[in-house]
Amino acid sequence: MTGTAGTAGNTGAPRSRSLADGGWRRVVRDQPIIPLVILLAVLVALLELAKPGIVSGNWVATTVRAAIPLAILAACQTLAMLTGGIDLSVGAIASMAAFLMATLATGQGPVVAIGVAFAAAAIAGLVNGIGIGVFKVHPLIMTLGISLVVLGLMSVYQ
Amino acid sequence: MSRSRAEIAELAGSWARRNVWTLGLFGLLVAFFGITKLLQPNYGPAAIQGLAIAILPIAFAAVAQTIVVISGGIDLSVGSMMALASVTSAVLMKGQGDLFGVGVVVGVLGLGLVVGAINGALVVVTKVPDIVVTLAMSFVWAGTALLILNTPGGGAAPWLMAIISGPLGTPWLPKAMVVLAVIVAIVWLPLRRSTVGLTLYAIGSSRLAAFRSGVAVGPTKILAYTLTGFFAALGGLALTATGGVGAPVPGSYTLQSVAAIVLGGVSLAGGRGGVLGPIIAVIVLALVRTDLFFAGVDPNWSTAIQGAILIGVVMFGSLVAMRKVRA
Repeated sequence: MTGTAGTAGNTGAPRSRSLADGGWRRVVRDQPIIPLVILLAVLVALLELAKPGIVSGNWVATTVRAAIPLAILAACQTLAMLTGGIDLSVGAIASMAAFLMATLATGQGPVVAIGVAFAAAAIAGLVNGIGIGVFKVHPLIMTLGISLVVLGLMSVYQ
Repeated sequence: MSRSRAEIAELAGSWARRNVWTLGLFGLLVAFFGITKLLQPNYGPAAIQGLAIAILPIAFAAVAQTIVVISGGIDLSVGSMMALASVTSAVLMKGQGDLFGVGVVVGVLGLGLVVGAINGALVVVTKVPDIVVTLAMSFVWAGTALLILNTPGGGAAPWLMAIISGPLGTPWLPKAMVVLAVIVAIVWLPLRRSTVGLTLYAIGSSRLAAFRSGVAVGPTKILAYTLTGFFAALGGLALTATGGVGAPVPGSYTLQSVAAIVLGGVSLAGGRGGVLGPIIAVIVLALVRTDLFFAGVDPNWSTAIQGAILIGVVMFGSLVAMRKVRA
């Protein structure tokens, strides 16, 4: 939320100095994935220490499977954030897609169910985009409103 | 004489122009009261008292969110701070005397100040975006609330429940409304008039300009978060007082507060708005729910309709603003 004005307190140190004694800090800033991977390794090591033998192929499979839905949501949130926005409706839209697919798959077959779920989710996203891009509604409000609409319509449909 | 009258008219005109959104909202409020009365002819003092008590926690949450958004931030931990304040007060007050209850209320308000200050200090020191820090802290405060009390429980001092229930003087004036008005008048109005209040608006309006004018941006920002914590604690106390027990799981108060302040004319970009608009917006949103219920609309539709109203009003506002820019 600080946006472009966030530079007020940021006194830029000379670049050569930051290269000399701030090299590590620069790596962290430019490649945030490196400390993240280190953190992951530390956490896995701690888990193995706390409960020896738990880290196995099976454990990896269940952990990754549990993480996949959230990982997909995080990936799509990245798209919204790259444009300077935020999407509070990803959870509601994901539940809607899951609900549509689960209810339609038994009667209509999986292809129709997946197609309808995708179409409905895309329409919700399109409405978000039109509200934010064309009508200049703040992303927080637009996506909050759409998540209410989507959840409400889902309980009506149900 | 006629000249001074003209000046007064001009002052009133400029006040009306500056507060056009709040005035419009007030008109909307009156309209919704009219609709409610049409749908339910015996909608009277008792229903209004119930409404005032029901909106009290959300109204405090909206005021809390207003202050931090005016200063250019946003606090997604308002609901969690309310839950923390609610369980702390309920656990401490259960089975204790009145005097102890007063001490608990003061202590919980102090807790709100501390919790808010921690949020603010983290935002200022780490320079991580407000939205990320307060989202993370919302988990911390919600977890702490669950540690204190893992199921709804505890109790509220009888006087705390008494000061918000029932009417004051005329049956049309609920005590809960008076409590809200008095607290906001005591805390917010003097602050807004002061230099500190001006700096709050200044850092929200333009952080860089405020910094170059000699405003201590960091401390002012921490102060804004501290006040937000204070009003969130009031919201938590209101939760305890309205329910009689502590509620460890935060409701959707954070998002409701964001919705209310935007409807209330507070700019999410910071620096614009006041607390009156959001409070009126909270009442309007509550009346929409009441009206949909009275009109016999399927309660499932009401969530969707509320979302549509939220988007519609904000879209209308931005369309008006866009036309003004073009003209």
